[in-house]
This record gives sequence, structure tokens and C-alpha cells, in this order.
Amino acid sequence: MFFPPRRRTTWFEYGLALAIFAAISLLNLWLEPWIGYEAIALVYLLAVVLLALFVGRGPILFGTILTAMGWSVMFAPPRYSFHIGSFYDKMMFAMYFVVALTVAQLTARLRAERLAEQKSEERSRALYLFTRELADSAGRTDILERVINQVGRTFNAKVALLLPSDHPGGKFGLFPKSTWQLDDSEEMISQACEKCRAAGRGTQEFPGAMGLYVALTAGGPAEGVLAVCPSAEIELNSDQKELLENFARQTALVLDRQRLRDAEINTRLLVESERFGRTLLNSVSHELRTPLAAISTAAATLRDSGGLSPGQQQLSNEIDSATTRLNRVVQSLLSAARIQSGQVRPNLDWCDISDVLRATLRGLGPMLAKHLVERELEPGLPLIRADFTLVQQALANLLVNAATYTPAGTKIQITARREGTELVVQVADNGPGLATDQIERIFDLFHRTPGSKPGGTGLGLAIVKGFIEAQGGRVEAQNRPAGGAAFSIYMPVQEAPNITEESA
Amino acid sequence: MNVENRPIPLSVLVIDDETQMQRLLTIALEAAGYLVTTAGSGQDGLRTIAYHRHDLVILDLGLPDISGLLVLKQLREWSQTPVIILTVHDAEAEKVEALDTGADDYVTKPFNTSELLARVRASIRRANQGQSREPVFCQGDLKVDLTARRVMLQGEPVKLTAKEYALLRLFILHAGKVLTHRQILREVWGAGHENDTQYLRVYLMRLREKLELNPAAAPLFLTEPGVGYRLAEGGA
Repeated sequence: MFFPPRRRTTWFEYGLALAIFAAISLLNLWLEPWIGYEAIALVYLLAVVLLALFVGRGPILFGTILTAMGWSVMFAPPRYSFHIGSFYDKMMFAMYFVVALTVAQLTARLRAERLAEQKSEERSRALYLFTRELADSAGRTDILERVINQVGRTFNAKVALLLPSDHPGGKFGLFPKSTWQLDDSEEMISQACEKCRAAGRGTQEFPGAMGLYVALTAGGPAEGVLAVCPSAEIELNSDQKELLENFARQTALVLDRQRLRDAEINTRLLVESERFGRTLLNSVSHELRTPLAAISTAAATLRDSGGLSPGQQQLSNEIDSATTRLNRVVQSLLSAARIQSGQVRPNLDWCDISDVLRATLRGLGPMLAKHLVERELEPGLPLIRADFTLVQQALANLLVNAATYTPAGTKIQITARREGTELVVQVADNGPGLATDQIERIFDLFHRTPGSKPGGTGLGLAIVKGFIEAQGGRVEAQNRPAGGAAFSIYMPVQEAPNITEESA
Repeated sequence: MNVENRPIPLSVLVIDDETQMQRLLTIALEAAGYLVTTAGSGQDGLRTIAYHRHDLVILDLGLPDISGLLVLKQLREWSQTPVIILTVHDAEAEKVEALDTGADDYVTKPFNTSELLARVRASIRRANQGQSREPVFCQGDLKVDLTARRVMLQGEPVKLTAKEYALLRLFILHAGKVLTHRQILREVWGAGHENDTQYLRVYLMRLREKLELNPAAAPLFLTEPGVGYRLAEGGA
């Protein structure tokens, strides 16, 4: 506990001086016949020096006067009178006075220094204990609890911590584990303290307050306020205030360090989870596709081997179409996972949208066989900077979507045109269209229109959005005035480097 | 084409660490008349090729010991045996790198067996015919006489610019084979233009406009998304 040693009252010290004087005088009366009255002065001098080791300046002066008077009255001839006879004795009296005072002063200074040293040692010790206590703390909450305990024990006081609330700009709020529940005016003081570093009892600001408030800061902006409320009889001196400020600074440093450590841990976790996600994605992709490849290869080999009955032939075709479908689902899941984990890294290059569309339609093969697909591409469309395969997958998803949700035999129209600085590719169908309240959420992951027919994963449109936005484009869904839904992909048009005739 | 009738069957080496894929590929290839050897790792595969001559290698890029790309690189230092790589979807960069390293073709897993067999046949045939080519290329309505530099569509001459013709000629010389953007750009426009994909896109658009007049007919130039282009070939 850090208490300045309780000051013995001055009266006690004066009494002590008087008592020592009385005791030494008696001793001297007994000694005088053997050593003579001159040496008696030395015994008194010794007593004064010893006294100076234990008492303050006032009592020392008091003791010096007492002993000097005692010597002159009781021992210096003529005895039992204030009068000193010989010049030699007068000089001795004066010298005694000077020497006693000087020695006493020196001793007192020594003692004061020792006291100060002791105090600073106590302060360092308290600070050391405080630091050590915080050093092996686990996490921010633990740090704060330890601060409260340690400060409370050191100052024998109730302690409150005020910390910034989570939302920026909010006021400080009381840390729940505080042992001192602040009332409103006390909170107000602590809010003020944020700016003036220290406030409350024993400071310039709000000196009448119950507690002492110190901002938690290590030079930067305050991280909170430490408030202590010692019992009323304890005097808060500047040493204590300084110690409390040291505690506050130390707390701020530890909190700061903890925050850095937390940030580092977070970053590492993020990196690790990203790596984990990537590894998982790769291994899932491998583990799902390899058996799929095996199934489809086996079915195809079976079918091509000949000698199958028509029924068996049909079964192997079923296996084939089921694996194709499953493969699409796996593909969608992996794409969605890539989008979700932010691992879509488009490989941008110049692309001809008609080329992309051609590849898309070829890749879909029989999936659009039941619909009439019309293409209308504005002549002279510019090249776009895009990732060919990502645009292709986005378009494929839109087309499969249209084919899935519209009746067989209806038209699916694909148009591409330039609109200002954007190239727009639209896939429009002649199906039932979209419910107006669904349009906004239709591109959300796993969003499925209520009442829509079964089938589909709810991933397709989210993938379209994810892939297109990753390349700096945007998507839009709307109902066509003539009926049916229309999905548009907007890609930014950058001026392609000039291609001169027969260039290079 | 009639592999079955050859006195000595063509041999194919399958390098894949998945035993299931090994078995299935073996069954499919043996059913088509090939002699199949398998290797479960890259090192194993390289050793096998060093000791026995093979007509074709099917190489999975995801091998446990050394990457398929490294196997390909090492193999290409001393052998011109055609290589078809097995890869997965989404791995365009990997495909391009393998093709630029010297792979002859690629198949994406899960693949269609007839597609794989067609690629195998085409790769072996291209490797055997070497540089010697028929001077006249015919495909659908298109007829190109490489010696006379004459391009005919439905019997009508087509006027091509020098670059357009150079591009078409490159495709014809490698008919059926996938060519990466980089390979085409280097051959037609020179090494300094390997990344100028825009040239290729524009010239391909023009070639298509001039040569693919009938939208109902099978396309001549096939786009390999994210990888390059391939000229359709009668048999493939």
C-alpha cells in the first residue's frame, strides 16, 4: 500500500524533545561531578544530534534552545541562573548554539533526503508492481480488471474506469467492473478530464470533487479516464497524484500494446482463414470433380462400348446428364465460394463480346435446345477489357436461368449495344417476368423467389453479379414492358489502343 | 483412324495420381485399341518415357510430387512426344502455361470420353504427319490453296489482307490444334506483340465476317475461352 507514513503530530515531537531534554539533564546532573560542566555540553550536543534523526525542524530548534538554556542554567557557573559568568563560558554557550543548530540542520536534511528516497522507492515499487501485474494479463478486459484491482489496493480507494463507447464520437462509458459507481456530476468531471489530463480533488479543475480523475494517455488522445475515490480522511498529495498519473500512462501504454497485438492476431487470423479457405476450395474442388470425372468417363465408356440394350443405353445417358448437372452445381458452389471469400481475381484482357457470346452458346450446347435463342448485336461494338471466362460464365448463368424459368418454345433474346461509356449485354426472356418486390434482391446469394419452381441453387444470379462487379461492371434486372424479364450486364468501355490496318 | 487394324498398337502413357482415373482412362483407351501404360507420379512418368517410346502422353497437371508443368518442361527438353494435359475448369492460366510450354492439347475434367479420344487421335496424327501438309486445305465451304495463296469460299475467291491471310495460314498449319493467344500473336505479329490481344480479337472478327458466312453451318474458328483459338478440323 502506498501511504505516506502517517505524520506524527508536531506536538508529539515537541514532547519528545522535552522528554529527551529532561532525561539527559538528569543524566548530566549525575555525570557532572565526574566530567565537569564543559563536557556536559557535549552530552547535550549528542542528544540534539540524535533527536534530529527523528523529528522535524521545529522540535530540533526547540530541543537546541532547551539544552542550551539547561546547560547555562543548571551547569554553567553561576549555577541555577541564566547568567553566565566567564567570557569563556559565554563563548562556549554561543558556540554550542551554533554547532547544535548546524549539526541538527544537517541531520534533518539527511533525514529528509532519506525520507524522499524512501518515498520514491515506494513509488517505484508500486509502479513496478502495477506494471508486473499488467504484464501477464490476457486480453483487454483482463487488463482493465487488473488496473482496477491494483489501483484500488495501492490507493485504498474505490476505482472507476471510463472508456470510449464503441460507436465513434460517443461519450465515455463506465467500465462495468468498476468498483466506484460514478454519479452524473462525477461523470461530467471525468468527461472534462479527457481534455485537461487530470481533474478533481487536489487539482486545478474541480478541486472540490470527491475523487481524482486522470486521463489514460501516453501522449496521444485519451483512451479513457481513471478515477479514484479514496476515503475522505486520506489526503491526496502531489506524490499520489503523480503516481496515479504514472499508472494512467502505464495503463494507456499497455492498452495500446494490447490493441496492436489484437490487430496483429486479427491480421494473422484473416490471412490464415483466407489460406484455409483457398486450400479448402482447392481440395473440395478436386475431391468433387475427380469422382465426377470418373462417373462421367465410366458412363461414356459404357455407352460407347456398344452391346447395350436400349434400356441400358438410356440409363447411361441418365448418368451422363446427371453428372453434367451435378458438375454445374459444383461449379456454381465453387464460384460462389470464390466470390464470398474475395478470391475472384479477374484476368483482364481485350475481349470481343460477340466472341464471348459465341463461346457461351457453344459451351451450353443442348441446355438451350428447347428455346428459340435470338442474337442481335449492334455492328461495330468496341472491344471491352474483361476476363473472358468470367463474362462467359455470367452470360451462361443468365441464359440457363432464362431457360429454366420460362416455358419451352419461348424466345430468349440476347442483345448487345453500346450506351455511352458502357457496353450493355441483355438477356431477355418471354416468361412470367419478375415480381416487382423481388427485383432488388434477386442478385442476392441464395435468394430464391418465393413460389418459383423447384430446381436451381439460388447461386446463379449472385455469381453473375459477383463476377461482373469484380471486373468493374454492373448488373441490372427489370421487367420488359412487353412481358418477361430482362437481365443486363453493363461493362465499362475503354478506348482500345488504335489498331492500324496491317499493324506491326 | 482404324487404330484397331494396325499391326502394332499405338501406345499411350497416362500420368495421373488418381488410381480411379488411371483405371478408367485405361479402359476407355484400351477399348479404342491403344496400348496403355500408367504412372502415378511425375518422376515415375518421366522415367517411363525415358525407357520406352510412347506415341502420346496424357498428363494430369495436379500431381503429388512435382507439378505437371515441370514434368512437361523436363520432357520437352528431350522429347517431342505429343502431350495432352488433364486439367480442371477455372484453371485457364494453367492451361495457357502448359500449352505455351509445349503441350499439344488439353482436356478439362470432367471430360467427355469421345472428346478425349478425338483429341488423342488428332494429336497423334499431327505428330506423325510432321511438317509435311497437304498444300490444299478443305473444310466445309472453305478451300485454301497454301502454295497459290488462294482462298475460296463456296467456289468464290475471297480477298484477304496480308495479315488476315497470315493468321488463316497459321491456323491451317495447325488445324485442329489449340493455339494460345501468345503463340498466335508471336507467329503473326512478332515477339513484341505477345500481349496485344486486341489485334487478335479484331482480326479474328474480320476473318469470321469473311469466312463464316453461314451462321447455321459449323463454325470454322473455335474459341477456347481464356486460352486461345482452334481451327475446326473435319474429323475432330
